Amino acid sequence: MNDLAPLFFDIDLVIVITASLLVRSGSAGAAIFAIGQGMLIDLLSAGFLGLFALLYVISYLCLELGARFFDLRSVQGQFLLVGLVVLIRELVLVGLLDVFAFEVALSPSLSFWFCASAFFTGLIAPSIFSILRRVETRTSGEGKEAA
Amino acid sequence: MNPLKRIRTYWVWVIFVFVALVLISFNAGKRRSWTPVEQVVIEITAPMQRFMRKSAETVERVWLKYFSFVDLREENLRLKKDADDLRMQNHFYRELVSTHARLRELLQFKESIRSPMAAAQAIGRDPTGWFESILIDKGTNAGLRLNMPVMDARGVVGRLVAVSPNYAKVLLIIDQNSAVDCLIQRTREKGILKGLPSQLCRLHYVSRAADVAVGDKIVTSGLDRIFPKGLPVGEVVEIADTPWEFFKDVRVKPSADFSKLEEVLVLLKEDPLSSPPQRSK
Repeated sequence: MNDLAPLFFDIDLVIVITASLLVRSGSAGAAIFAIGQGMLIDLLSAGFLGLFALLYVISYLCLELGARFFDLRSVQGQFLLVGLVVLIRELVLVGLLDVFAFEVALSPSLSFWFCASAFFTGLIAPSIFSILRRVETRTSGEGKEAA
Repeated sequence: MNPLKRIRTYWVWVIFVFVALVLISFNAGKRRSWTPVEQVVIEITAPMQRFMRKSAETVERVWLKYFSFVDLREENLRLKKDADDLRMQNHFYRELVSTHARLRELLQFKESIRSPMAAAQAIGRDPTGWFESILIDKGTNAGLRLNMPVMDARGVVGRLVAVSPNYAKVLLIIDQNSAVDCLIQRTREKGILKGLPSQLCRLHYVSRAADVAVGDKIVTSGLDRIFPKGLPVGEVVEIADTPWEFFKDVRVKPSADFSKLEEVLVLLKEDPLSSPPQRSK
């Protein structure tokens, strides 16, 4: 596991976009995006179908719950909540893999890479939020002009 | 929050968790191919994945070309020496092959019928990092079917676990879900090769009395009816013999280099698991 630990450094854009959708499009849009992305990952990966769908639905639930305690419209809120949800997602994944009899040990190095993933995903979250907001503003502006 | 809206949000949670749990419970422990709807999704997303991989490869190639100029002379000398060594080895193996052919004739062994093969390119790796699979650019249109063995020039790579008209998913032998019935070439001891989290494999069920040493070659036994007998799989790199265990802990380094998988060969044979085993009369 130690040799491969950097493989588990994962900037989770799905969670960032789900959080952004939760703010802009509401619960249903975010939930559909999360489960859709999870199912697509399940199709492309060798894991069992539904694993990542469940994982991203859980992430969405954590975002929805966390949004009551953190302000997803502020930079600090985005950093903290997204980072926290990425960390939870990694831990739930390890738990689920353990349930399905995978040999996964939550070693210190793996924990370090999980924390690094959470930190850096949280760090880029405000930028992604800003880009998505601009894209949305531009597309809605073009839509109005066309109308 | 408006109570009505809150109830609606709870329902969204309940429905999606239910959908995910249904999916996971119906598919846990099973391995099945893509459904027609999933095949459509793969057909749409795989070209994008191929594009991303090609772009990454182009950047990597340009980068490596720059570095390749740096130590060109040393590399040239080393390659010449390697070529001489390989020429000697080639001569040695030709001798072995001719000896082998003569012995086969002597023992009146029938030539086994070689399966035709299809070459395919790896266009994407498992997106999760937790499982070990690749996506290849050939599917049912090229004659590929479920459970066909996949190899590269060095040895066994894996088997097909899902196919669509133009793409297929290969479960690599280093995945923890994979199992290959194997033999230790020198002593003919049997075992089941399974993946480990660390690009190595473990040969399970090798008894403590078995004669196995570091460096022993592992080949397929043919008993799983997926991989033909005698294909190279890997080499024993570590053995642990714990007194209170029934079996030895044998670690195997696969022959195939999974970090550099680009072209693979698919052995075109019927899916052996779709039909019951034939009994000899």
